[in-house]
Amino acid sequence: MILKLAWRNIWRNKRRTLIVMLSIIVSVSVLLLVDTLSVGMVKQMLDNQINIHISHIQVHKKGFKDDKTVKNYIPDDLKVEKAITETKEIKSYSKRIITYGMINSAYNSSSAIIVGVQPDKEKSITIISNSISKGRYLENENEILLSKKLAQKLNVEIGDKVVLMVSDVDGNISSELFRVVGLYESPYSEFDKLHVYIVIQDAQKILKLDDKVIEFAIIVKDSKYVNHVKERLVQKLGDLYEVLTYADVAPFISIMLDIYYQMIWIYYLIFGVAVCFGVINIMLMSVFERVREFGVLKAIGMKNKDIFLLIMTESFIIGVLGTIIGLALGFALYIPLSKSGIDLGIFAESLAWYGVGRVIYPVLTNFTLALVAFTMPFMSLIGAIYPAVKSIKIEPVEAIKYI
Amino acid sequence: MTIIKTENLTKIYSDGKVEVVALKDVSLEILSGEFIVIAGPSGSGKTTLLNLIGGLDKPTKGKVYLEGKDITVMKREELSDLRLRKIGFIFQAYNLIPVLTVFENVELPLVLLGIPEKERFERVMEVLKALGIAELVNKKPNEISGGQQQRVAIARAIVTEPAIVLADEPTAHLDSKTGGMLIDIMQEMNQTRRITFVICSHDPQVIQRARRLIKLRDGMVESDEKLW
Repeated sequence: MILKLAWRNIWRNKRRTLIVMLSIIVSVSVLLLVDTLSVGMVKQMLDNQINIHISHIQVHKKGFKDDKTVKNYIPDDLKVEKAITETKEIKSYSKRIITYGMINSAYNSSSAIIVGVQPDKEKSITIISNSISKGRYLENENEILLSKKLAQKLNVEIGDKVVLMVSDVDGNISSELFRVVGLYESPYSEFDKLHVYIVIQDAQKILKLDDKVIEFAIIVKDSKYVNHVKERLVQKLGDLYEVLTYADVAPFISIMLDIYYQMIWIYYLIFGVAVCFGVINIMLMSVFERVREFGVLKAIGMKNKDIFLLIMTESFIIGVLGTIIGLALGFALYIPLSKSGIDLGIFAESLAWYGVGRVIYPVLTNFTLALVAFTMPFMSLIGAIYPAVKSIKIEPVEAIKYI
Repeated sequence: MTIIKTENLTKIYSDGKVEVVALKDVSLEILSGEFIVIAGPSGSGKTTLLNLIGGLDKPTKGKVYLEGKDITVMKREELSDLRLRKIGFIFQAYNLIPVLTVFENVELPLVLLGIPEKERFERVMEVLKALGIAELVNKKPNEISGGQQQRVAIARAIVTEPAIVLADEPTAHLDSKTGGMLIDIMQEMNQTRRITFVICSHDPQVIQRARRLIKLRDGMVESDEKLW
């Protein structure tokens, strides 16, 4: 009976109910879009960081993270390779040499992070081979891959020569001539400014590392295995090695995730409070309009808890209906956008600075869905408390006289 | 059997500066099956007395006993329960719930009593037939006449088979013919179902039908006589 009464009561003043419901519908659909876009942006940022360079897991000699010098090469790369190949959750891996140096052209010079890679294997670790804007990916010795940005700075083109200068494993300055074979353009502009690629044999030669390597970059079959694989490798490799996940390598990603979670709560709070006040407003009006009716209900024996429940139910129905329609509207917008993405071309430069592409694909998580679905019905209940308390304070003897 | 007994019932309204004595030392005894009319001019305390008997208001002084229990000391929730089980109310302005149909309005007290659906249906239909409004079951209050609305209000008041029905100026909003018919119905219910009625009114045709007439003046009982 309370449900029946509540349902009919909310349609007594259709316009008023529809206005507050509309505010819930808009809030729910906007929150759904803003939240899924934010998740999409953070996910893209994380994926880009992993796919451009970091990979899921990196293995180094212990101490490399804090002292990235060539001397910290992996002492027994066969042992590491064996541990990796024995771990079935690992999809692919690649050996790398990483060092700092200078790159000089005939016109300009720049500092650089020089990455020696196994071209074939590296293709299954990062997207750099797919991000070539001009020329081709590395194939042979004495070839170098630069970013388009760095090439512009150095004023070089495909086929031009550049000289790399590094400090070798003995601390001596060593240099080598390379021919530019390709220019890449990753989604992360800050990365592009520094990273240059050569084949691993060239890097070993120039650094006098013989066949030693500095890093193993690993991609696991599913990102949920990352921590498990890390533990397995730590067990197998012991104290001489450091095994780092992407979260260890790039802590700013977890900071970005934290910022996202804090920001999203603020969004929910703002929309939730706005809806809450809307509900307080209409439910109070509705209670004042029905003072006599409440008096009658009490006179015939309806208990205060039932009257309280009636008001709460009315508000809850509005919250739930608004949320269902809002979710439907939100999905109608989300589904096509999740396929086509949203082109934020005008912000492309600043997005690239954060490692995000110009097209953002919204991503819906269970957490977002739960949060969007529960916020407005919950806030509708909160908003109904005050009017409901008012309604139970009505004295029947006064209320029946009320016009 | 005594259903209601009041002892020195007094109600004083005060706004902090001025005190108005609405009822003063009213002591009454109402027996089961009586058909009582409380008459008196406006401001004589009729409605105040009815509200105190019905547990809608608390007296400043004095006691009200319903079936021997002192209701003036009962808590709010206890009084709600008491009204639901023992007392039926009929108001001047019908006061039906506008969003509910005639059937649902009459059914409401039975729902609050927790009576099963099948029994509710039977009881509501029985009362509506007795009052000659069974064909209105699906109408909303705003779709029927004032006289019909007041019949629905009577049905709602008696459907729970209360010990007593309290009616406050039930004919005030009706023309004399409809008002007369309504009093006939209440009288019939009193006689056939042995429901005790206490009716406040200054309508002469209601007063005429009284089996016991209590006249109030200035909050006091002026006369209390059994007429037939």
